[in-house]
This record gives sequence, C-alpha cells and structure tokens, in this order.
Amino acid sequence: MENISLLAIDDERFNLLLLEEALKSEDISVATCTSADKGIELIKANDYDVLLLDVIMPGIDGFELRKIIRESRPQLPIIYLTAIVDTIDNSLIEKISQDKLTYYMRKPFVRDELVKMIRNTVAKRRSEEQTRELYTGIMEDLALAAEVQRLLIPDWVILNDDVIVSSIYEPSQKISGDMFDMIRLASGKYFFFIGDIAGHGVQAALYMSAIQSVLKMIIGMGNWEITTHEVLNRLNWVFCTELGQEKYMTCMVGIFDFTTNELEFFNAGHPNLAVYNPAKDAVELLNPGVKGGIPVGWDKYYEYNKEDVIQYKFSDDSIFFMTTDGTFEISNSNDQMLGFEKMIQLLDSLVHDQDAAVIPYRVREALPQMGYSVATDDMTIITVKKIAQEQEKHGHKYWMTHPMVQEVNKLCADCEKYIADYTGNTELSVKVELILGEFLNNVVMHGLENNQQSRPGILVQIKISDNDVIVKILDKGKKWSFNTSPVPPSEDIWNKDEQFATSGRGMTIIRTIASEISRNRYKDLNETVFKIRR
Amino acid sequence: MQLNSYDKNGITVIQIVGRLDASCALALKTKFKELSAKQNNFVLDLSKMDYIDSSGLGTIVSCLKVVSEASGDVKLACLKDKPRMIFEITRAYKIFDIFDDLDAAVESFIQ
Repeated sequence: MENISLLAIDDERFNLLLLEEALKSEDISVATCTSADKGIELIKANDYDVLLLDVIMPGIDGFELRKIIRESRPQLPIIYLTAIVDTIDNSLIEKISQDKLTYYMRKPFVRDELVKMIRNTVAKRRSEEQTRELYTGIMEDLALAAEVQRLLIPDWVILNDDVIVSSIYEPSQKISGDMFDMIRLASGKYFFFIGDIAGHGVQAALYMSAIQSVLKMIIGMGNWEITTHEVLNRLNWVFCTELGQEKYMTCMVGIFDFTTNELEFFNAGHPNLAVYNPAKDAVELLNPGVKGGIPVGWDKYYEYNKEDVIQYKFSDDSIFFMTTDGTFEISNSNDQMLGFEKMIQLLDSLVHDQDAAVIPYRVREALPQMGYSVATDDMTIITVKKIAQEQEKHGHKYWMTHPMVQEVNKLCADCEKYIADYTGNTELSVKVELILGEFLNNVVMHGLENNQQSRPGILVQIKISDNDVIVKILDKGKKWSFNTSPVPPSEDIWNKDEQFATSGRGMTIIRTIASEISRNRYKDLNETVFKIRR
Repeated sequence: MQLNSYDKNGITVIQIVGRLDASCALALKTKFKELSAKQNNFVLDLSKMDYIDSSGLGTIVSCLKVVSEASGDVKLACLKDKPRMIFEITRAYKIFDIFDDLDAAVESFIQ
C-alpha cells in the first residue's frame, strides 16, 4: 500500500504525542494540531487519506467539525478516538454512524488495532475511488459511443424531393441495439432497413454498429440488382460467420418506389409493418404473420426466398409505420405491457389530423400519459410518407435546414420566393419571411444554443390556402415558451419607453403579423404553427 | 452584407448591400461606432439592401440613439420594396426620416 497521510486533531498534546510515536514505525505520515480551526485550515491545504478526531474539544467539537469537513471533503474517512463510554441508548454510536465514512475507536487504543483500522479504512477508500474513476471512465466512453452511434443512424427527419421520414430513437441505456436506415438507390427509389439486435446495452450496440456498416457495404456494391431477400441472405451470412452466433437480429428490409407507388419488403421476425390506408381511413397491418423469414443470425444456411417477399401498392397519402418491440413492450406500474394492437390503435387515433413528421413524437409523448413509462428495451418509431410532386403545385411544401444562421436565412429567402411566386402577393411573402427569420433565429440561437452542428435539423412546412398561409416549424431545441397572443394593431412595437431598445422585438413582430400562433412540445420535439391571413 | 461609406457634402453616407440580419448586424454596429467618433449626421443608403430583420432594425435604432445624444441624426434613403414593407409591417417608419432620394436625405441636413 502507498504511504498513508493522516491528520490527527486533539486538544490534548499528550494524545497527539502518543499517536505520533505509535505510528512512527509505520508508513503513515502523521500531521497533528490541537484545534478544530487549525485542522480545517490544514484539511483545506492538504489531501489527507484519513482523519483521527477527538470528540470533545473546546470550541468546535468533533461532530461539528465533521459537519464542516463534509462540505468540502464528503469522501474523507474519519476515525473518532474517544474516551467517552456510550450511554445505554447507544446515542454516541448512533451519532457516529450517521455518516457512513466515520469509524470509532475507544481510548486508550491498542496500537495494532488502530494501525489495522487506519489501513483498512484507507484501503477501502482508495478502492472505492478507483471504482468511481473506472465507472466515470466507462460512462464517458459510453457517452462518446452514444454520440458516435447517433451519427450512424439518420437525423430525426430525412427530407428529400419525394419522401419525408421522421423517427424517434431512444436507447434504454446510453446506447442501443436498434438501427434503421434509408438509402436512396435511384430517383424516387429508396432502400429501407429497420433492425433490432436481441438484448440491449454495449454488446447489442456493437453489433448494431457492425451491421449498419455491413449493410451500407452490401448496398454499395453496385454490381447487382438489389432485392430484399438477397440483401438478407448476404446480411445473414456475414452475421453468422463474422459476428459469431451469440446474438441475433429481427429486421425488416424494403424498397420503396415512389414513382410507381410500390413497396416490396421482407420481414425477418420483426414486428409488422403498419400503414395508414387513406381509402379505408384506417391504420392496417401489412401481411399479419403470413409471409416472412426467421431472424438474421439464427442459421447461417437459411435461405430467404423470393416467395416470402411482400408487394404492396400504396397511394400518395399512405403513411408507413415501423417500430421495434421496445415500443410496445413498455409497461405500466402494474407490469402490463402496451402490446402491439394497442399501439396500432394509438397510431390510428393520431394519424387523421397529424403530420407524418410529428406522429412518432406524439406516440412517444402519449405513452407515459397512458401510464406506460417502464421501458426496458430500446425504442424506435419511424414514419415514412411520400411527397407527391403535385403537392408543391398546390401550395404545400417542406424545407429542412441545419441549425446555422446562414442556412436559416437562405431557407427564409427560398420560402419567400415560393410564396411570392405562388400567390403573387409580395406583402404576404415578406410577412412569412419575417416570421420565419425571426423565429428560426431564436430557435438556432436560444433553443439550440447556437451549437453550430449539422444536427438536429429543423423542418419547415408551408401550406397555402385561399384564406391563409400556415407555417409549421418542428425543431428539437430546448423547451422555451413565449407569449403566443397576437399583438393588437393599437399596440406600438416602438413605444416611447423602449423606442431605443436594440433587441427583443423579434417575437413582438411575429405576434403583430400572425393571426394565430400555437405551440406544442411532444417528447423533445417543438411544434410551432403560425397562421398568417392572406 | 457589405458596407460602403463615404462623405457627401459633409454628411457621412453608409451604403448597406445585401441582407441586414442577425448574422451581420454586429458588423454595422462596429462600423458605425468607428465613424460616429468623428461625425454625428448620417444617411444610410438602402438602395442595395435586400432584407432587414429585427436585429438589423435594432442596430439602426442603436445608431440613431448614439448620434441623438450628440444632437445628430440618422436618415434613411432609397428603401427597396421588400425592406420598405418590413418598415411598414413593423411600423419602424415612425422612428426614422425616410427619403426616396439620397440627395434629398443629405440636403435635409444642410437645410
């Protein structure tokens, strides 16, 4: 054991002399003082391994001194050396044991016993410190791993000309065994993948990272016609031969063709794909338990066959839902799980008046409200919706921007041009640009604390109708609220008292222009809607 | 955004080119601070300013505040349609003297 540094505080010099002599031959360096005040000074200036304290001292006694020491040294072990014999009700022992790092030895002490107690106490403290450091190191590594892992999966929203994908991805621990990806194969054609490694935590997360890379490699080897069953065959082979057989993965692979509105997909033991069918105005399951294959990783010789591929013809307004089992295995306090059927009911109740981009967050927000808050597995919820080409011609358009001031300003100018071209009303387009500019700058600077990173993106949606323009903004900034009541025309933005104020007018300007403002927060997603009359 | 400044009949003219928004408002503030050490009367030539937001407006107001305390003034000239609408929507026109013509803005100081 390394040398031990010890401080003894006792108002009787004799006791200190005794201690110094008793511990002299040991590898313990002993500092002493006769007052609590001097002791506090020494403790501030030195990093002792252990303190020996007398209980009764003039002025500040041993217990009061402990209270003071704990403010700055909560982990420093203290051994009380006292001649006081405890009362029948054990009040002394009780007082000592109120602090878990305090020990007690009667005076006169037996030298060997005291040395043993000092050594054991310090050894315990050092071991605990090492464990704490190790734990902190692991936690820091995990936090970094979580950051890296988040970069492997897409941002919460993917926006292309022909599709919008929104997702919520929530590890049960810091890192997750869930994964998904959406890869553009050609114009209007996308490969999608959602998977769930059995179990969770570090092992599952490492598998997830490996699979994510392998998948990109398989898709990237361009010399073959990508089919869902063949992707699974290749993935299964790599999983079984390269990654060992301790884990397996349920997954679903699919290819969307938004030019023909066709989807082909293969389910390998994963929760079913659900779709909002506008013709029936209901959410339904595609192929409930008929076709499909076993999870990846169970059998390296298993063949995923073409016959098990499912074809589905969808419409422009269809919304697809994918999830991992952690979402519906969430439990309430009575240990009852949500269940897949109830989750479909929940989706069905939300889909009619909600945007595809908001639905995963509405679902996640609703779960604890319904009493389901005990999550034991990773959770992923994804929605996929086509963006029809005609949509833009009917005054409905999406934009996405990274949270950076320059990019936000470009987005505002693009929106202004779109509205001016669509309506021919420049005053209206300038009003929208002003609202967007003022609001998005607040989101970037305050909500997202000007982090200058490319994620999380901000989604803007504009819908122009005969009477008004609806501007909807979805961002993942921190929670902040503002007065959403419109400013009456009689109220002056430049009133006398604040005429020369150089900032703080942005939100007032917004409230002057917008006829209605609403704001909601679903999990960590802010939804802000402005209505501007035409 | 780009800033050009020059003297016209003893009045300092600052021409603002591009967008005056949160990302560049500080540049105008710094430039104005430097120029207002020598001169109290300014004309902002906005003939090439495409857009202004509340940060830009706030900066122009702060310029006006600085020179007002020394009995000076900031006048605006040649607002393009879009920024003019923003001045109308935000009612910022109540704070400033706005001229359609740069010469008229400069002349107004001399008269």
